[in-house]
Amino acid sequence: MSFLRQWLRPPARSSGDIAKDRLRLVLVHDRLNMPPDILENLKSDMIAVLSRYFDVDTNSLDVNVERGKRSRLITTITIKRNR
Amino acid sequence: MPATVLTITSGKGGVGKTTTTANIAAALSYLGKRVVAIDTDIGLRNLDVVLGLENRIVYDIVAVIEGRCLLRQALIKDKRLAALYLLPASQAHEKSVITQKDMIRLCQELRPDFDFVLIDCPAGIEVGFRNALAPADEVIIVTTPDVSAVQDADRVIGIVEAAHKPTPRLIINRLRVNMVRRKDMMDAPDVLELLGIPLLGVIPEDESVIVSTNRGEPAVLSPKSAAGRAFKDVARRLLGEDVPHVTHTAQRGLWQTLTSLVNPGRSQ
Repeated sequence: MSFLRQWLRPPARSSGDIAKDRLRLVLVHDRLNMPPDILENLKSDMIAVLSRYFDVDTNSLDVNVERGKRSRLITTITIKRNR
Repeated sequence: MPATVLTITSGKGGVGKTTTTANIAAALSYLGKRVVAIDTDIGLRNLDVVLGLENRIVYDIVAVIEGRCLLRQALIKDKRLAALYLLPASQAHEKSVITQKDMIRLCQELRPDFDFVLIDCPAGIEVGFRNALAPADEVIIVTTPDVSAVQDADRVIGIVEAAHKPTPRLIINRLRVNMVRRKDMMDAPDVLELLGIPLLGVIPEDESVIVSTNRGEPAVLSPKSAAGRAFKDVARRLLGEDVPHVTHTAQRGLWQTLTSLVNPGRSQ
């Protein structure tokens, strides 16, 4: 039955997708010129502030840096409900 | 019209800067433009060998800058294309013997006689890269679809923008279509999304590039080379032509095909 289990198992994530996800994170660190631990501090500070006003999904915080004439820091976080 | 100075750079070495420079230079010349390609990788010159002109070097860029010869004495005329010239790098010096001012002055001297000045940049982000960047009107970033090349390309894009140059354009080199189909290589849209600059061209991985480099003939001169055709498209885009990009979208599996038949809205 192992072939059936093999067949039913969801497909493994492709290495191309893994590369893209890893790069997305690496480029944020590079563009902010910020070591990973400092970025983690920034994230937890942002979560702490937002939690005072909203019930937020703390695992959903996503940080990105968009380049252009001026760099823009873009963060998204899921709100479970308004306080 | 004075020449446009294009600097071809990548950050990471080995992604195909020199091959790209040689092929774009040959393609532009093939399309009737007057082109000079400058090798600025002093101490590690290659562009002469890739173009098959290594036996004709008498003077080099350092000799010109130090005033030991005239600029026109150092320019090597290509043996196949009428309006293609090479200014070779010196093999016996260090990159620090020339300055950004020297490069700007050199390009000023070349501008009236050419349509394009192409600068092949050394790897890295040190003095040689800064010298090659200084005279650029436009910058072309070459990357391959792998993590280290894309990471370095991103760093270089940041430096180019900080130097107040126009937003660079991207060449994605050595894309393996079969690996992209298996999703074991990032596709061009993935790389574009990460780097956020406009696309100039996608060059497929192609053995004919190695063969033509072995012979010292740019791939654009062999009509059967897929990479050569892609480089010709790049040259046409540089001339302002609207040449559509060939896409290498990942092949659908049986399951995706079936679900898209049942629910067409789900697939793109």
